[in-house]
Amino acid sequence: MFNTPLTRRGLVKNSIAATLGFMLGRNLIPSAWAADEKGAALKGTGVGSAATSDYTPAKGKAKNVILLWMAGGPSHLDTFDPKPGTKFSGGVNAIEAANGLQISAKFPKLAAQGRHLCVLRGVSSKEGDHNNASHLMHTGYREQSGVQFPSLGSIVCAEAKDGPRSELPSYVSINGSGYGAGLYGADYGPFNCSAGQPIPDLKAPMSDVIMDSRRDLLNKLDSYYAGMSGAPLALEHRQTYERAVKLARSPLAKLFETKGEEKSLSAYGDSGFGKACYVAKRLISKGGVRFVEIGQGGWDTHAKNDESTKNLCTQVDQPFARLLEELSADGLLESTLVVWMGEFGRTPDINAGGGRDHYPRCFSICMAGGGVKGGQAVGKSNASGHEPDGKAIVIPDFYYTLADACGIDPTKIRESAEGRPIQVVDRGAKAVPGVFG
Amino acid sequence: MLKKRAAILAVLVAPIFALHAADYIPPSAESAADLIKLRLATDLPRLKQPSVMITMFGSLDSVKLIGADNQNLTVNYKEKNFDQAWSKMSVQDIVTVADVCFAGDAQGMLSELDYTFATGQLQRAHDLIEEKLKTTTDAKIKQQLDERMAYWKVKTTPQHPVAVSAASVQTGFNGGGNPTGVPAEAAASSSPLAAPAKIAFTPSEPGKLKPVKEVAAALDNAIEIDLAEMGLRPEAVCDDPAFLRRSSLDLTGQIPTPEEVIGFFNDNTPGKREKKIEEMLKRPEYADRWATFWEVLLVGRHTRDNAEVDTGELKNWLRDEFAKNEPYDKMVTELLTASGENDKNGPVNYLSYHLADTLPNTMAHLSQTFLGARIGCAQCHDHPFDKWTQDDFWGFSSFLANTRSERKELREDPKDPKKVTRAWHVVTDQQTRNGDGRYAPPRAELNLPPRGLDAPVFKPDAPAKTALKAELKKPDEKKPDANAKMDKGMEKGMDKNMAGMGMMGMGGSGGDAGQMGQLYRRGLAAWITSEKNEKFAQSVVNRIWREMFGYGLVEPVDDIRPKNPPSHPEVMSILANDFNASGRDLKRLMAIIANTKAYQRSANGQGTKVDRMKAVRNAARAEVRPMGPEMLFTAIIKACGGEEKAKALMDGLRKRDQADMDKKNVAVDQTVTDVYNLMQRFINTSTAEDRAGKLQFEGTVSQALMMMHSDFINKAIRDGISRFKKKGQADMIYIFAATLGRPPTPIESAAFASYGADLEGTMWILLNSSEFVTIH
Repeated sequence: MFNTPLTRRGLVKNSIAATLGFMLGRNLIPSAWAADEKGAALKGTGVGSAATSDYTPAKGKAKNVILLWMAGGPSHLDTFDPKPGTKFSGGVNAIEAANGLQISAKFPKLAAQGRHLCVLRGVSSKEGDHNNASHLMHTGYREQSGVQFPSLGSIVCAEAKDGPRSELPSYVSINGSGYGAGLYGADYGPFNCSAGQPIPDLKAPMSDVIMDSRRDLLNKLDSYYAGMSGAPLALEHRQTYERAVKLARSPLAKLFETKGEEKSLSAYGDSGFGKACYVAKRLISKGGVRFVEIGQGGWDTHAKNDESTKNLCTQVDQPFARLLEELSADGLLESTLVVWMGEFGRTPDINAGGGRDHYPRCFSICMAGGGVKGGQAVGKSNASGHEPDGKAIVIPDFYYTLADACGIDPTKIRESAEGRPIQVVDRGAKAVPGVFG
Repeated sequence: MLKKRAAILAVLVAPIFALHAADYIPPSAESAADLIKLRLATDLPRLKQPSVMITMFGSLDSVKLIGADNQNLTVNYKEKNFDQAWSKMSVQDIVTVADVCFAGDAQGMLSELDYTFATGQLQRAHDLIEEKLKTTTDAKIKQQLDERMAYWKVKTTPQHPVAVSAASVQTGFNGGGNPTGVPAEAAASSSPLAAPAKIAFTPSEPGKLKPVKEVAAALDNAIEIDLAEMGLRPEAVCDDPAFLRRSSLDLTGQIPTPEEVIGFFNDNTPGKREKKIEEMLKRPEYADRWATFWEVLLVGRHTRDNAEVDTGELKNWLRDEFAKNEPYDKMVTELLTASGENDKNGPVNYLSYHLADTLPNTMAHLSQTFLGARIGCAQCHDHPFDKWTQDDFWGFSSFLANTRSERKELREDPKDPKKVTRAWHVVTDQQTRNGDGRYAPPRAELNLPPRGLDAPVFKPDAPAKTALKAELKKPDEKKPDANAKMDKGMEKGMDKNMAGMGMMGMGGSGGDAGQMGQLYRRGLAAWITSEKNEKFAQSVVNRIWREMFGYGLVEPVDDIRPKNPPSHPEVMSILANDFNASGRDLKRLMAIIANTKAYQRSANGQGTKVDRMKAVRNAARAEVRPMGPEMLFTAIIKACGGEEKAKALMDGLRKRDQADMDKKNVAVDQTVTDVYNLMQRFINTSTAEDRAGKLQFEGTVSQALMMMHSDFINKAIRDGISRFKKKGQADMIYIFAATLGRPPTPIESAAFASYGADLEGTMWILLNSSEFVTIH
């Protein structure tokens, strides 16, 4: 190998060749970091992983998930757990959605899809602050020092056995901002966008050839940097760029836009939420996207609860119903789990300003598709809606059930940045009985 | 001569890349050889002052180590001990020395040898030495070779595998690397340093403040003792480029200019880092940077069409406070006691925003922000993880139970009488605490008199009442709005109330309680900012520490309690004490932190992922942190447009806030508006955690698209390059200094050349690099 005569210049050549050659040959990921990251986070560490777990896969069939996120915290009494005729009702009447399943009469169109709905009642948590509760409901964990728990969307995408299905981001968040990927890394973080709008800055102002040349060198320089500091941030920065380029070059990117789709769109109603539901359905059915979160704010009704929830329910009713209808007609509902929830419920008591305040002690979640048994309510609240009647559905149990629905082992262990073993779902959680019939 | 060498180098480098030709775009307009010529043309003038060159690439220690002979560019060390000199150099330095020697065609055999070792070619080096020993008769050279052999044997023992050196060379991309000369991985894996002896330190007292450096040394001493106990070896202090860029971003929110970078390296005066810190804290940008930090902390990120909070008004008030370095307790007191219209009085915005939500949420935010206490859970039940009871929560809440934030509207458009022409919030102190469900506790028995956490029930004393009364008679001229609501009528009411004050508790004894609410708020501010309230200083110390290190002494940053102690308890106690003694001087606090070795440690180094996190969390190495959106956009403008453009942007943003504030149409430069809008979009595409300010900006696909494709970026780059050309500075070294605050390494120069990257492409790559978008 070292046959070059021992001249200084020969040496320079060899040295630079060795150095650069090493760089190029190894694609410039020099240190143990890259392998470390992937080994630990993506493949899962050996610690108590699926091999030794006693988890038995449940009946869930979900390959896709659509999360309808009701930011602010909707009252169970105004939505899926009405108490008509009581002083807590907020003036809401009930309507029959399926045999024995009553939901708010403000959801007439959704009621027509009642056979798909599996309503969880008497759901309970201890988090009454928006941020803390949103974290809990998005990750299944209370916030903890030093651990970045991945969000549901990231879990679903990272744990999917068949990997990414297209160049589009697997996890899309529309009209809101989805929670991050935590220990899974930026690859599984959300792509945030506005319903129906073209993606800003999608097209490169230079030829692909020039872009690739620049990108190639950038990648090499950056992986040095990542290797040197060992900072996950630097490595993730590169991964994000690569995903951005894939998206920019994909013909599927037009699925985000609704221009020219007015006719099909009209069945979803004329709201941002409706557009988002339409886009979500297309991204799932045609774009290979696995998880879509749609944000619908306004549920923080501390004042004038009646008026606000009436509008909100109207906005949600038609798109939600239409989404279920179309998924069902396309045969996609079996493999697509739809979850409707917010960060907590609201007080059964109406406050002096005619509003309802935060209330995590007892609230509702609605699920549909993905193999859950529709036309039923699981769990219940007491007569006034203040307390769960019987056993409360706690959030880790709900997450265990979500994992079940997606065929993900809830007891699988991943490693946090600090090397702490973290289960997909918090230890001690159990499936909510009855969800899958 | 020059041409010849350039040609040789070009020949040397080109074939390496030819191997991968299929993967790359062949250099077009400027061939690789031309680019190398360019590099030599720009490098060589600097090579004639090799001490500058080495300083540019090198570490702190090597500045003093390396001088040079201008004629033949041989390397001289001030220290006679050869091994010691090498051992103090980083592998990167060695490579640089070798590079200098080769480029200058100097006799560089020994450097070649070290370079060979450094790049991990152990076998090659052995051969080289053996070969040389065979042919060398000169006793002196023989001895040097033996010495070198012995030195590298130490380096290549199992604890210091040669492979490590190779990795370090590759990763020596930061221009400095590790000034200990021990490959970083070896440093991380070798045994911890022995605990240093405890330095006797008498803490600062009011009026008798210790010099900043002395306090910093006491902190380092405490940290190093802790680290030895934990078995952690601290990373070495970072090099000058890293220090300058990091401290500049932390203290002023801006990257340094290339001129500043070069000037700083060439500065050989002792204590130059300390002086730099002092100088940076005096810049107007300091106020902009920290006003942004506090704005986000106090009210989150908001757009301007929000009546509850006037961010422009709040931010400009914060800017003024920071520019004047007003005591922190005074600022907090104003935030808690200001009244009036929020679009006319900055500090009103804290309560106008939070009280527009609910009282419990306001109290939860307030205690987390100013006291690092998470009492929010105790609103509905006794706190499950801390000692706070529901009584504590509602007693504490009573301080603000009489204060309201109310929306006001004006419709003054003659053409459209329904159009709201002005919407704002007014903070006032009310008659009674009740009347709105958002303020009332869930049960009547929780209607408790105001009381601090772990404190007795608050009763306004006579001097406080007298003071307020005097103020009402003679409103404070500096803040007319603050007291606008306190008219004569209210003054009378106070007299009435004062009679029965002792037992009133709720301020509901029938009189006008407006001033009572103000007295309560002053009581709250006095209790929060009191020196007896240890958490007040601890909380802000912890927040500033976290902002400058990426990780708090206590984490989560707002959860200070006995069962969640600081990583370095003595550091917390020295800093909190000093902060109190200094009269809550924020600049001094930052100067002390920035002067510690702990703050100045390298962000590089190896070790397992877990070790790395442990080191970061205990301030044994620096973390790579994301820039906030404001920092990032300012950095782009400054890198491309230079200092003038950055100044214009900051002025424009200040004006924009002013315009917002006065509701006047102040002309704002279109660039400023564009940057502002992009910044908003950047923020809107972040994850929920980032927007809540909790986690790092890990970057999203949308942000990457904006950085790669947007007109904004690509135009800034084009303008930047033509500006550099006009100034005659369109070279790699200048562009690197303008973006990354350091010159390129030889490897980088070669890599860029081999890709045939033009200046625009180079700039684009650098702006999109992880190194550019982070603080490290």
